[in-house]
Amino acid sequence: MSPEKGKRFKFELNGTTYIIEIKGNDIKLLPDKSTSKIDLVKEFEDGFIIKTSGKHHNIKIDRIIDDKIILSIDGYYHVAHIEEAVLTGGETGIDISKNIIVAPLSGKVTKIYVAAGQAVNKGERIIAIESMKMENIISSPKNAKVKEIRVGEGSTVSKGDILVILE
Amino acid sequence: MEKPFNKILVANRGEIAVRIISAARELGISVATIYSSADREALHVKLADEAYEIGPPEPLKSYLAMDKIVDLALKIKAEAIHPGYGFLSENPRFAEIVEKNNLVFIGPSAKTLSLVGDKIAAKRTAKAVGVKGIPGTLKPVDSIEDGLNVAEQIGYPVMLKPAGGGGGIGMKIVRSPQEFPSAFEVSQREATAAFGDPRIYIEKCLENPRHIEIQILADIHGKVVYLGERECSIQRRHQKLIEESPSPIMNQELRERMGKAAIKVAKATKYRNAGTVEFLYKNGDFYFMEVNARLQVEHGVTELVTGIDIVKQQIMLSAGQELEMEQDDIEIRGWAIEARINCEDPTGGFAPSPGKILMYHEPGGPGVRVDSGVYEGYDIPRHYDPLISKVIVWGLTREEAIARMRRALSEYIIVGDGVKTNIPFHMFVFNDKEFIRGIYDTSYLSGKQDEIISYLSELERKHAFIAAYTLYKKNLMAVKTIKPSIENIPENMWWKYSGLVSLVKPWYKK
Repeated sequence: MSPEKGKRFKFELNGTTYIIEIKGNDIKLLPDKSTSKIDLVKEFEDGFIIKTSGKHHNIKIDRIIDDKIILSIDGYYHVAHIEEAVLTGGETGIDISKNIIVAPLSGKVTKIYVAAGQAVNKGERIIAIESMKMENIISSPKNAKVKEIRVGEGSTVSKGDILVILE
Repeated sequence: MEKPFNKILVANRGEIAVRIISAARELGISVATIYSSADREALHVKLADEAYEIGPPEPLKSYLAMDKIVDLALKIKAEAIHPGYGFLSENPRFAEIVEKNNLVFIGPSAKTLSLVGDKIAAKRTAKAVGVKGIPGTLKPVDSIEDGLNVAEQIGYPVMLKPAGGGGGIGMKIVRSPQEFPSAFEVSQREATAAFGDPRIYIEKCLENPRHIEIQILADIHGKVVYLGERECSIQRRHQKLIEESPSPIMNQELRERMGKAAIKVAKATKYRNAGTVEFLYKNGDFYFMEVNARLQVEHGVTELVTGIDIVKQQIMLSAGQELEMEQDDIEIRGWAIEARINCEDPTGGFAPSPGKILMYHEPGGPGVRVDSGVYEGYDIPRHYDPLISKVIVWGLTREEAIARMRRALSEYIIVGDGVKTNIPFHMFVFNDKEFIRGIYDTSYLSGKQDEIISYLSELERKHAFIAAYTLYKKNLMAVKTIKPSIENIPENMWWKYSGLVSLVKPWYKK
């Protein structure tokens, strides 16, 4: 089993691009070697209070406009913009191909629209996952046939879990 | 009182155009303005009674297009033109064209503009009425040899200055005879390029003086009053950043001496309307530097401590109304401080950072005034000055004013797409012991800058960590693909985004 790899994200804060690697509660700002540990002190629906390097910080997510997120950290307002989510291969342990549909976030499977062996067209609904009162409907990336369904309605899934395999 | 004009034209943009519109409105005057094609959505356009597109973004073809502007004023039957600051505000040719067309130029006469625009002539005029300037030449330097002699007489270090213009362009400090020849050549080249005038004069270089200026008002009868002083020593590369009134080192006796000197210079140059006489102050002595023959960016601090609306005064004085106030009527009460808000990136070399403002909230409450040219949703154009607004506070004491500024800056929200401001930079200064004690001079920022930038860089990094953690924790890292269309995602990237086609936004959605 390969050692746990962090998840890497390239994101932009107020116009500056950063590459971040996150492993559990540890965050690294690449290419620095140092890691910061962030402790979640209290969580709210729209933010948190966290503790890092001995100091407390108050974070609030204010709004999302298109793909820009406005958040405030201790009253300083910022605009964040995601460049790309770079999921490293080591995470799922499988050779990722475009036939594999993974959970984009942790939650509960509320509805499965297809059955094994069924043909689906690009854009047709395959599965719905609910998380934080938010429903995510995943549609087919291409015209394909459903090869295998790995979860059932009511299953709890974690981010990155394989849900459905197409061929 | 009868209103001075029926209609005026504002030949400027941004926060100052908004300011002039406010003053005109209060006087019951209808106001028209101009805008370039880059300024179609500008605030001053929205607020004016009439607005006219005058040309493309380049200033030369729009805000500096003298003939177009005068023609427009005539066409729309505006009686006067307010030039704001910068652009055509100190251009004698423009003032002349305006006057020739029987329109009123809201400012001094073309003749005065010519006189004070020539820095050597201005110095001579001041000297002739007994107002001491910075020790130096009163005629341009003929040659390197001549210059070396003069510099020897004055004593190093000396400052080479172009006669044709200011703003720090072409100015060079020379500390020894060895440095003189090449500095002189460079200075002449730069002066010729910027002002079309190669004349250079030499002054003693005062080390780390304080920059103190006096606001004056003058009517057509030659009556002049001064409205106290402004301290403008907090400058970055000769650009003012923070100004205050009164000056921390001022006392009534010095104020009267400087005020009287300013009045003498104003009278000698036949000054009309509003203007500022700039001095350099060091060790109890003050030296005349130049006259700024226009409304200044920092006029607001004087307005707050005197209660006098300088822009309204400009409009009334230009209509021929007499100055009603006497010098004894003018009182300085309390303390005012201004912070200029620029869309620039202090940790990125102060590079301009215009862009679309996504979230905007101005501070308010007691003693806080914001003169702004922007609003939420506005796309700051890249063609002009990075000055987007000014936060001006007033307090009964300097301590209160500083506390109010800290509060106001902390409440000021300006976030946008690639937009950065110097608000965090200001926060540092308003928490800095030296500034709080009032012990500073024109070297303050150059001495502090590195410290401020390294502090800001650290803060940014820390916030980047925290923001990344937040987005990850709240599963917002994949928000990019909230837009439902699969077609946007290239095929070979599909495996990354396979889960994210449609997301129903909960409370985030407003």
